[in-house]
Amino acid sequence: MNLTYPPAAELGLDLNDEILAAQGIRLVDPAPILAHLEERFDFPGDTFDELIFLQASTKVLRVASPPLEITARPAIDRLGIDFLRIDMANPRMTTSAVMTWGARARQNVVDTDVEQCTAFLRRQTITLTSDQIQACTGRGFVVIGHEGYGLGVGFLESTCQDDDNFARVRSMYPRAYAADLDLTSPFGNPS
Amino acid sequence: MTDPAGDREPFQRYRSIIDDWQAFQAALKRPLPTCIWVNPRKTTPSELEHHFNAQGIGFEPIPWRPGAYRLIDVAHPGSRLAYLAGLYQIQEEVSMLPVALMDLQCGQRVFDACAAPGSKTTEIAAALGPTGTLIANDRNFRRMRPLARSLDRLGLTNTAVMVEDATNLSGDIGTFDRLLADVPCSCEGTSRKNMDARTATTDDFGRLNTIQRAILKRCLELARPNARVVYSTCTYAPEENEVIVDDILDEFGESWQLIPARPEGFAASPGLIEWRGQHFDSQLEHALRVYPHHRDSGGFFVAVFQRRCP
Repeated sequence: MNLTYPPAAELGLDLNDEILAAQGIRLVDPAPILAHLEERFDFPGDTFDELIFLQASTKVLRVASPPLEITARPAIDRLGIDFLRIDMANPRMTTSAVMTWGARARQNVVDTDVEQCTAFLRRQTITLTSDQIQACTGRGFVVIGHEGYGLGVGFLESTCQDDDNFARVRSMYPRAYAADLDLTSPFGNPS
Repeated sequence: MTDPAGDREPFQRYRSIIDDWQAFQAALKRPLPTCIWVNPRKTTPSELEHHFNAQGIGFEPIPWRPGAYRLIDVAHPGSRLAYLAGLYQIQEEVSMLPVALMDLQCGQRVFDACAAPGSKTTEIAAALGPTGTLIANDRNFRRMRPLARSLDRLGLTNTAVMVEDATNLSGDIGTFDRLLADVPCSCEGTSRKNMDARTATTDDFGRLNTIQRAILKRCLELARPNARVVYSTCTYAPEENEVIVDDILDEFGESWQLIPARPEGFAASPGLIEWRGQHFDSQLEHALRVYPHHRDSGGFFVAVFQRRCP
């Protein structure tokens, strides 16, 4: 994904470029990001309208809500929330992004049952049903949800029935989050 | 848990100011209820109630705080699906008082001087909505990590986090419409969940008072016209509460006044105007003292400063 960093005015935003630069934050043109997300997840066109996309590291893009009344100093440690991992060949939405906007995705969404959901949250690989597979367009990242709530990102290994990894989804749920669930169940049953 | 002096019942030094000593002591022995508030970024109270009913999670609304609930007999509320999905945040009931008293409005610029670990911070961010800006600060980087995770989980995009010493904050940070000085304190009021909590000592006051006074003072200095500053602690000690507020009123009383800290439907005790022979500004009656038996909660103190019209 080729990211560009136009001045705020070019994006129609009333933000001070010098303040952002002083904080080491670059405003990102959202067009290629939105195109990438629309192609994979078919988000409605207005899903991310109220957000600005920011880059403060080589790993992650963040999103925040304008007008963002910030100053050049003192240094900001963190602005907005993590949105997209960009240090990989195929950028992927972060868990926080899927938790917040994943419910609006219209394809490559897996609505898990209780067993699948629990396994996903424990970072275990899950196997999709034929109905779930039909909601996916092919190998790649999928939104994992339960009863309409976005929970995180999985990687669908294959939609090809002849493949050994057919219908398998690797959990990308963060290790730190999963560790909190070691002794409990998200559904309140004994582990 | 006993007083350092070896008294059988804890917090004896406050016996003369606590309205019902037996009820206070009885409350200290009960487990603290689990309370939550609904994340308006992701759901509504009625949707969450529906979810709780479907999951067999017992709850009762907190009458004075719309969108907040006590959970009934719920083990591991921080591991439930609705929590993981960011539909609610766990927060002690009295800890919701400061934000309720901040009178937050869309578009405001807000400063949280001592944000870690961040439950009040996330409550501010959620109440402020996407058009406001929250600057969340704490001098302890490690204690700020849970805040970052909470902001991510709750999907709150209006917050900038910084790690600065609030007692000595540069004026470059600009001015604010609302400021929260939820200052470091001796934490006596947390004894129902923290077995290490004990009656504060003179050493504690010596260590904390300078910091408490400096943070509150800096917040007043960073305030815009018509601003409001909320000062809070989770301790009973007048030395960390009324004494600090009285000192600041002495210094800033011409431009600041205390307004009643009285959320509708929340009954507690007024601030003190006298403690062990020391008399305080009569405005201290507008402050709020919460003892555990009032709302089956922890202990808390809150005072609301409103800038006087020029």
